[in-house]
Formats: sequence, structure tokens, C-alpha cells
Amino acid sequence: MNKKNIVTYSILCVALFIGGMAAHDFLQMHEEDVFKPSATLTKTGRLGDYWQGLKGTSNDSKIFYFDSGKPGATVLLLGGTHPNEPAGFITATVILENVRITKGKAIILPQACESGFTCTDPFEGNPRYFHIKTKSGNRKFRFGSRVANPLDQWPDPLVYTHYPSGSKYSGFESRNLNRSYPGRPDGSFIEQTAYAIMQLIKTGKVDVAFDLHEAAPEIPIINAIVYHEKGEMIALNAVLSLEMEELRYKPELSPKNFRGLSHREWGDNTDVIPFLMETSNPIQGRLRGKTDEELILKGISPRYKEALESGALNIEYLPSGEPLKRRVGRHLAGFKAILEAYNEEYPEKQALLENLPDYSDLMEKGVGAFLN
Amino acid sequence: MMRMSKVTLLTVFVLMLFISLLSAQKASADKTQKFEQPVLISSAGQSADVKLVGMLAKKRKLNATVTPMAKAADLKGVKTLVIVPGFSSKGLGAAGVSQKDELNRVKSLVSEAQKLNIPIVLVHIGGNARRKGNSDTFNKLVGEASKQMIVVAQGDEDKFFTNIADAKKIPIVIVPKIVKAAKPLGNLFK
Amino acid sequence: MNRELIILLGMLATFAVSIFKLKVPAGISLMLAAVVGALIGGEGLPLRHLVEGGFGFLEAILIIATAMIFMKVMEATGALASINAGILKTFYRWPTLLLMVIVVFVMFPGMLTGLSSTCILTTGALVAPVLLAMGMPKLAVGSFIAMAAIFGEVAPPISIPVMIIGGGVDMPYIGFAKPLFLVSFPAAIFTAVFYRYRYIKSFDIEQVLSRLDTTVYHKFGIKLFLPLVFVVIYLVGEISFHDYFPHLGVPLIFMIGALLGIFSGEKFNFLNVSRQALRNAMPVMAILVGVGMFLQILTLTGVRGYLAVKALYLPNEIKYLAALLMPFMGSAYASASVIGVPLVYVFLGKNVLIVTAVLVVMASLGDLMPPPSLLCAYAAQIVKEKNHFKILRKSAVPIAVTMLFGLLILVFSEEIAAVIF
Repeated sequence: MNKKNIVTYSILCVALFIGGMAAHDFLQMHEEDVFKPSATLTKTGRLGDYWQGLKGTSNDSKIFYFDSGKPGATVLLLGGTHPNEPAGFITATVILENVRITKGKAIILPQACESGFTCTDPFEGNPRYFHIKTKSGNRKFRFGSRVANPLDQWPDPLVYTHYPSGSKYSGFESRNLNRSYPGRPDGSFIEQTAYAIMQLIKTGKVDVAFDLHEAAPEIPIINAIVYHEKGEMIALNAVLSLEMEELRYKPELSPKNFRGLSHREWGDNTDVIPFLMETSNPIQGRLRGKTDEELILKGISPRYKEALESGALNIEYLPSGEPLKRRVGRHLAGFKAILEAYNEEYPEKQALLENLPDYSDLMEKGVGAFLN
Repeated sequence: MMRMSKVTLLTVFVLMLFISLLSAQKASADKTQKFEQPVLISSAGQSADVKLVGMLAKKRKLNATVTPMAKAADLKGVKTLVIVPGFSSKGLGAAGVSQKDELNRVKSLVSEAQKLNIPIVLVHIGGNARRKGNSDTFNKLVGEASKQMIVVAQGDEDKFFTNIADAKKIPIVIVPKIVKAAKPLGNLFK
Repeated sequence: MNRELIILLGMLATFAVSIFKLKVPAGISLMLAAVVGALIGGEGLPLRHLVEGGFGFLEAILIIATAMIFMKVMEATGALASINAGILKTFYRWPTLLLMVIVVFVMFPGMLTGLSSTCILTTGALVAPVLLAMGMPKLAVGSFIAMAAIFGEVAPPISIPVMIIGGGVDMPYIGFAKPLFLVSFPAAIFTAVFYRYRYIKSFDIEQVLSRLDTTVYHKFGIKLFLPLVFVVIYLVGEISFHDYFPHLGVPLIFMIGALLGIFSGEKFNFLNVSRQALRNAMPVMAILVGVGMFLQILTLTGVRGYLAVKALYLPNEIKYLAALLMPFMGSAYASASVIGVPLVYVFLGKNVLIVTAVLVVMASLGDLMPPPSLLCAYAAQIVKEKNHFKILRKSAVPIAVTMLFGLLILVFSEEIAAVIF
């Protein structure tokens, strides 16, 4: 073997070693998160139950059903539409681990786009996990990618054309669940996922639905409740009652020309009244500093503080930080307020979900106190 | 001696409080001009705040119509124009108009109201979220043309509205919360 | 000194020493800089992050690899030479018009793919021999096709950097055709005219044509262009008529085009040609892997945020300077995502479509700039120049003029919006 070959093979060996180590790390992300549902859980299911094309795929996401046995409204709650927005995922988890339903039904998908939980976004330097201390010990949760894993849908087109509206988005968005509604059974992996969720809404006769999100502090639609025109009175009443609790939410009407999003397509294509909520999440922001697990949990970013003080941008960021407990607390408060407003609007068809912590409970005791 | 002075202090304090309350009452009475109904409530920037103000007006049983995209022609028969400024990209998308279209609409609505001598009342309830950036274009435009302002305090932390009010001698009522805007809004009308 | 600043300086110093002192290839130098950045940042050796970043541009790398094979095939079949001769024969009497046609021709693949590399690898490589034969100095030729590639990346209908910014600010890719046309075409035409008068004196068409092989076309006829026609039609079709064109992805389209080449002209050894193509593309692909790692570490350690926030602190009067700094990020896509997104907010109040288009032209100039100097490196390869920085230097005038155009459009964005919308 000559010298050149030795160098070549050595480099190959190093590359293989690095690749192997990284592959080990990436494969770990396929291990599912553990949920410990409350005692009132009626049954569990999978998204594949609503469209067979998803059976056995990584978007055969877990579904938790809670049925009071008493007639009333059916509530659907999605967390983890975007797996890099942990407050949505964790809020859904807190609800499914505490809820006691006394009227109507609740259907909860804590990880709507489970595929996105199996990878992280390149260039973002994000951690793969975050840990929350609970009564039962330290629990580990995955922090994923905004979109589905490219292993499940690839390659991206240069331009993503939304079906059926024809709206155009960047190719990356073709793997974004919240640009893919209403979806289609013979479409891409993510369009099939969207289709399955639409089927769930239709066949499950869902009355009111929530899609929980987060956004970078510099995004204008933040700390907001986005509503379909069908749910205007409910959203506005919720905003007013939340204000009484010193929680400010911007009411935002869903634009008609922004297609593929849950708050538009669920409302247009089914009988459901949809709501989408956003909190301010520094780890998603482009101005954030060091990117690590602490940023997910404590939400303290000196860079955002600096940007806030510069006054150059309209930023929704508290100088003390945007911790996970606050973001989950806001989602919970919003969820409860909207549901209350819904129950007032439709007294003949209510959904009563009890034993859910308040914003102040979260702020005082932290998220871990409400996870089993 | 100590005791005496404490009592005196307390008396002076209570007296001062009483006087200041009285004068405040007077000032706010002065500030609260009366406007006539029917009222047209419109937006400037298409934030959903306009709908909230509509709810407050309904609560106060005002004879009011909410038309977020009101045009000059909608002023027919209207005695007071309430404008709720605040920019929302989602709202503009929902209305299907560009920011420029919206600005032109508001400008023409304001100038038509001025031409017809219909007083304009600014009600800003969006707080920080409807300030700065694109919102302030609308806030300033409506603020300067108004005869009365009702503003939720968080939106005036930097005295943006108070400064306009001082400069143009426009009465302004600052309220701590959106729900607290209902009463002063109702009180504006006979 | 600030922690992030120390990391950044450490990374830049590593890169500089590696590339200039140790003469290590640019791609490897970027990887080393990333590793050093992670070490200084207290991250140890974050293998996962380095690999993840390294794969960030996988699609661009595949496009480059397959487009390169496609172009080498086109060269081997004789299609390139025929097109060269065709353009020259048609337009040689009007050299100014000829250069304008050439600049738009080079831009064409970028207009469709939103990727500057495809311009330089396909049409850029195609016209380079023509320009050289016309007597344009090789550095000028390199610079000319590199500039055209930039304009191609920006020009409508497809501009990926706009979509990157749009993704960051929740803005759909709608209504950008006019602003993008405005920031790209006038500057492109200026570049054509400038190079025409600066570098092309007079040339003997017969002599130029004699250097080009024109016999292949007569031998194979229109069949020669079948692969090219397929690629263009499919690229356009997949974007504009997606219902009728099943989604293949750009790399597969180029590969099918290359395979069609086997039956369209002169015989050649497909394996050898592919090997040659990949060897040529290797440095640029390595740069993309290196840039990916570099970007990932910048974000992980907080340097990206540090840079973005510092940009915000620029005083009001010179915030336009921030836009002018965009090219110096060294990559269109990185610049669009790192600085482009916050800058859209800095310029709130102006017409957002026009502001974004200007930011995109500024960001796209980044493809010329070090550390990767992607387009210059390619152009250097095409015109056989060893030092690609010479091509960057040669491009100073068109870069400056493009930035000036952009800046004027930014300053008068409201007035322009009133006219064009």
C-alpha cells in the first residue's frame, strides 16, 4: 500500500467513525417520548386509524381519548405540530396527564407531527432533548424540527405548491404540517398526515379545536389567539376574560389568502371552530445567543434583552425571560378561557375539562409539578 | 407634639386628597365632551381590536355599527366616527388588502369625516402589541385627527398618545384595561 | 472582550491561518474553523452538530454534483460548442446586444432554480469559451459569468433567498416578480454594457468561429439539444405545472438529462465524464459542507445572535449600512436567513416586498464573497485561473453598482412601490 492510499483509507476510517458516532445520536431520536395519562383516559389510538397510509410510519402519531360518557362538545387539542415549539407539546402533555373530563369528549395529540421529533433542523444548533424534574424523577422530552424528517419525505421541491389552493411557499414548507391542510390521501407524506387529521376532525365530529404553537420573539403574530371568523365572538370574549387575569393576548383574524394553515383550513373544510395560539419562544428566534437546553427551559436570552432595549424591533420578550412554565401557563390559560367562552356560546353542548392548573400555578410551581 | 403634628399631617393630607379628587373630577368633566349617535366604529390597520371595541359599545348599548373597512360613503347619517388603530398583517390578509390600500382608505375616511364635521374618537386598546412599526403610522394619523382619545395604558407607556393629545389639545382618557374602556366610551355619548 | 466576539475571532483566525498559511483547501479550513469555534465556545467536539451542519446543504450539493455531470455530458456530446456558435453567429454584428443576450442566457437557470451555482455550472460554462474567443480577458469572463449567476439567483420567477426570508417572517411568496425584476435586470444590463465597452474591443468573427466546432450540429441536428430541452422543460414544468409533472427533484432531473445525453450526440464514456465532473465539483461541495458546519457552530455558540443584534444597534442614519453589509456573509442563503430576516423588521414601514427584494440582491452578492467565494471559485475553474480572489477583485465595479442600485431602490422604496404596484 503506498503512502497516498494510506492517507485515503485513514481519512475514510475517520469519516466512518464520525459518521457512526453521529448516526448513533440521530437514531436515538427515534425513541418515543413517554406519556403518563390521567386516570380518566378512555382509550389511546394512532393517527393511522384515520388514514391507513400512515400506519406504521413515523407520523402514526399517538392519540389520547377522554370521554366523560355525558353528551357535550368534542374538543381536539394538537401539540407538536411544530416539534421545535415545545410549549405546545408540553401543554398538551400537562392536559392529558391531569385532565378530569365531566362533560363531552377530549381528543389530544401531543405530537401531531411525530416525524419532526426524530430530527433537528440543520444550522440551528438545537439540543435534541430537554429535561423536566417531576415527582417521578427527571423526565426527558424530545426537541425536534419544525417540519417532518427528510427521511420521511424527500427531496423538497424548489417551490411548494399548496393543494388545492395553489398558494406557493418555499420548498422547505412542503414538510410543514401547518401549511399542508386539508391534505389528500394520495399526496405527500405530510399531506397524508394533514388528511388524517382532517378525517379525525370529521369522523370524530369535533366541535372546537386547538393547535398550539410558539414563535420567535420578533415575529408579529405572538402572544396571540388566531381565530377563524366562525369563532370571533368566542376569541374576543376569551381575550377580555384573560385580560381580567392580567394576561394579554392579541386577537388575530385568520387571513383568507394564507392557505394550508389549521386555523383556516379546519374552519373552511369542516364544522369545527378552530383556534391557534402562539407564545414567545426565544430558542426559535434569530437573535438568540447560545443555543442550549437552558434556553428552552428558562427562556433567558441576553441578546433578546439587548434587542428589546435597542428599540429597533417590536419584540415580545420579557426582560426576565420567557420560561417554559410561563409559555405553558399562557397556553393553558388561553385554552381554558376559549373553552369557557365556547361553553357560554353553546350552553346546550358544553365540554367541561377539570383539574387543569392555572397560569399562576404554573408560574409558582413550575411545569414539573403538573407532570406525572 | 409628635402626636399633634401627625394629626395635622393627616388632616392636611385628607384635605389635599379631597381637593385633588374634586379638581380631578372637574378636569375629567371638562375633558369628557359629549358626542352624538349613531356611531360608526372602524379600524385603521385591520387589527381585530375593532371588534373588541364593538363589543364594548354593545355592552354600553350604543347605537353603533362596526365596519372595519368603512369607506367615506359609510359616513352617511353617522354622527360620530370611532376609529380603532392597530396594524395586523393577519388582519390585512383577512380583509384582502395591502397596507397601502388600508392607509389610503383611512386617510380618505378621516378627511371625509372632517369635511362633514363628524368628530373622530380614537380608541386604542391593543397596548404594546399595536404600537411602533406599522401601527404607529395609523396611530398618529388617527390621533392627530381626533377630538377625543381613549387609550389603554400599556399603549401609552412612552407617552406617544399623551404627547399628541398635549400638542393638539385633545382630551385623553387613559384606562388600565380594555374592559375599563367601556365606561368612558359610553360616557362620551349623550 | 465579549465571549461571542472571542469565538468569532478564533474561528476567523483559524480559517485565515489554515487557508493562507497552511494552504489547506477552503472547505477543510471552514471545518477546522468550526471545530475551533466549538472548542472555544466550551462545546467540546460536538460531532452531531458538525455532521448536522455538514449535511445542511445536502440538496444544494446534490444539485451541484448532478448539474456538473449534466454539463460535462453536454460538453462531451458537442451540444455546448453548437450553442456557442449559434449565439455568436446570430448576434456578432451587435456586440452590445450580444452581451445582453449572453447575460440573460447565463441568468436563465438561476431564474428557474433560485441557485446561482446552476447558472455558472451550466450556461456560464457554456458561454465562457465564446467570450474568451471574443478576446475578453479570462478574469473578466470569470467575473462576468459570476455576476450573471448572482442576477439569475435573484431574478423572478424563483428566488430561494426570498423564500428563506419569507419563511422567517411568515410572508407568502406572492407578488415578488416586479420587485425582483427591478433589482436584478437593470443591474444585469448595466453589467453587460460595462463589460462590452471595457473589455471587448474588436474581434474577427471568422477567427472566433474557427476556434469553435460547428460540425457537430450538422451531424446530429436538433437531437443534440434534447437533454437540455428536457431539463429546462421539466424544471419549469415541475414548478409551474406541478399537476402534470410528477415531482422528481432537481438532482434527478439533471441526472435524467445527463443519461439522455448518451443518445443525443457524440459518443463518450459516461463513467469517465461523471468522474471528471465530480472531481471538478468536489472543492465547491466541500466548501458547502464546511460552510454548513461553520453556520451550525455560529448558531450553537451564540455568535449568530450576537452579529444579528449588533446589526440592530446601528444608528438610524446608517441602518442602510447593515443592508450593505449583507454581501459580506459569504453565502446568499446564510445572509438571507441570518441578517435578512431581522432587517425586514428594521425596515418596517417601507414596502416589505421591495425591501425584501433589495435584501435578497444584497444577500446574493454574498455568493461571491469569501470565505467560500463559491461563484468565484467556480468561475476560476471554468476560465482556468488558479487564484479565484482575482475574479472577485475584477468584479468590484459591477458589485458596487449593484449595491448602489439596491440602496437607491431601498431608500425610494415607497415611491417605487407607488409606481409599480
